[in-house]
Amino acid sequence: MALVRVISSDGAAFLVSQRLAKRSGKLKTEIETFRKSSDNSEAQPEIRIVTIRAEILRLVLQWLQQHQNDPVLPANQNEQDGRGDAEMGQSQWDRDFLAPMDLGIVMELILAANHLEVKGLLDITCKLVESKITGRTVDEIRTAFKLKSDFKGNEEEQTRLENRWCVEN
Amino acid sequence: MDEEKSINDIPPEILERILSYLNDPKDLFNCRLVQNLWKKLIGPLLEEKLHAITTKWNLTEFNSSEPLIPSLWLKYDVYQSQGPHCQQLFCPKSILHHRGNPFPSNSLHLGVTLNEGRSFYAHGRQIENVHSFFGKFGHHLTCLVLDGYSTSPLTFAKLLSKVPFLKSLSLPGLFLKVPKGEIFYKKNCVLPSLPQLTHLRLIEYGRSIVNDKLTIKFVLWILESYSKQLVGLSVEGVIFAFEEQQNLKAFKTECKFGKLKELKINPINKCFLNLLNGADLTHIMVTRENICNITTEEMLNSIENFSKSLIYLRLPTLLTNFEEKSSVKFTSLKSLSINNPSDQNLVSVMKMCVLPKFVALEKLEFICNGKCKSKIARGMQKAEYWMVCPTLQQVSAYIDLEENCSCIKNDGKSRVVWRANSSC
Repeated sequence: MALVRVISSDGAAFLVSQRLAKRSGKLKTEIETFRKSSDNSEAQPEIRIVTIRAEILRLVLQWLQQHQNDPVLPANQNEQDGRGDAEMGQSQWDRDFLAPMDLGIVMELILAANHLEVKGLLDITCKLVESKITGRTVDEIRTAFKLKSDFKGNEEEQTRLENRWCVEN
Repeated sequence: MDEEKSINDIPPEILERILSYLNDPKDLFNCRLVQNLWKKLIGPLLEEKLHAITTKWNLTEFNSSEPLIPSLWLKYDVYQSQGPHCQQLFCPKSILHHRGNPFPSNSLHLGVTLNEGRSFYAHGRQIENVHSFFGKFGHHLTCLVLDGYSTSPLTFAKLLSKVPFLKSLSLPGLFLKVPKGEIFYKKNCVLPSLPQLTHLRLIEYGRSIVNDKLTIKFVLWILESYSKQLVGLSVEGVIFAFEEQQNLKAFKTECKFGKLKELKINPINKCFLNLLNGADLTHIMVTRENICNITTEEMLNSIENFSKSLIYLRLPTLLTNFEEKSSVKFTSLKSLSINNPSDQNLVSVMKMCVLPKFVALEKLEFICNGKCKSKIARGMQKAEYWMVCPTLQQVSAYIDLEENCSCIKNDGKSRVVWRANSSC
């Protein structure tokens, strides 16, 4: 089985099968680039990911491992006639996988999934963040995401007035 | 080690993706208030959702109140103390004092109960007419619903010239009023070109007199002006039950619905459908109850012209007196919806008459009220549909959108899946 070494920003190396690694768009491209530039077809590729630390990379690889046999979904699969099943693809395993993470880790995972082009993981992490927004007040959202208002002068009040046309009717 | 990452570290396109998952309008509006970036990202998302509401007519008619659209009613209140003719309009100050678009999106549902042609005052400022009311923000609007608007052709044309970037225009309860002295001649009155307009809804509540010639003329004039660019058209109300008559003949030669794909029509009217000849319609919805007692056969006959291009068809309650005469088959139709299939003979009508015409049908759905729930569920399990129509993949029943039940073809056996959002 052909392997690839994936190295995190803090120097930890993960040895994974190329078949598994290729489920990440980014790693797939990297492996192919390595093949073209290398004379020795048996040589083991080594890919350094400078933006992702070991803890996060391990999570991404763990998720890929679990989902290695999933069919690759077309990009807009859930959007047919607006009746698509949003929960599709989110298994109990995924829920257990995400449950212990705090928002900081989830954000890092989103960045990693985006960088490595792992659509399925990006989907479930984005939906997790969305669930932290749904049903909350503005203040609760700001607290949850540690955000401060950056509106100037009466901009916020103006926005509230605009909103009234929709919410209070 | 890096600092803990926050939502500020993720790129805007991913934040946009997260926000796009939000479904409840309340959440979307809340998010406009979080930060400038959030407000900026929500704008296009709202626009997209509102555009879908006013242009996609598949299931959204259940929520006909269009809760997302900013809505405003302009109405007069009569102040007796200031004399019987002094009327004041309640127009909120925030609209008059806003420097740009006072609404959170580029859509507006405007209800109008005023007498066209009479100027009105709002907070001490005189606004001459409904059309001048749009002066400051009209060019922001891409979607406009004008509710209960009574107008004359001239002022209607003036109003439209204030909203040059409209993509969709809905006119529920349009009411023609020609003031004394104004004569409606098509030649001296031209509607402005609205180059982006692709969707038009004309809904008449039955307040005007049926077959009122002037109103028909007015409606046809609007259709004629935009016929070449329309992609979606919705015409509802008894006014569209007209019969072949003089002004239709002239209309036919000037109208080409070359781009039209989606039609929502009620009642179904052969005469009107003939006007659309030449369009490759892909979606036809005949909505609500069958108000003209047209038989299923007549309905199908009148849409035969579109049998090659039609992909989606929705029909109201099926009537039983169906005798198959025409041999036209709908070769592209993939999806068929039936509203309120309360008829006792539903299964036999479907089996004997309707399904044999739809030779490529993959999806059959019933949209019904709670009463027929158990009957539908029983009916769906019957093998008849699957036997008659070999291409059929799925039979579904939607009960007030709250819950649904699907039957999916699975190696020759059918499997029933119930899904419920509400308690059942």
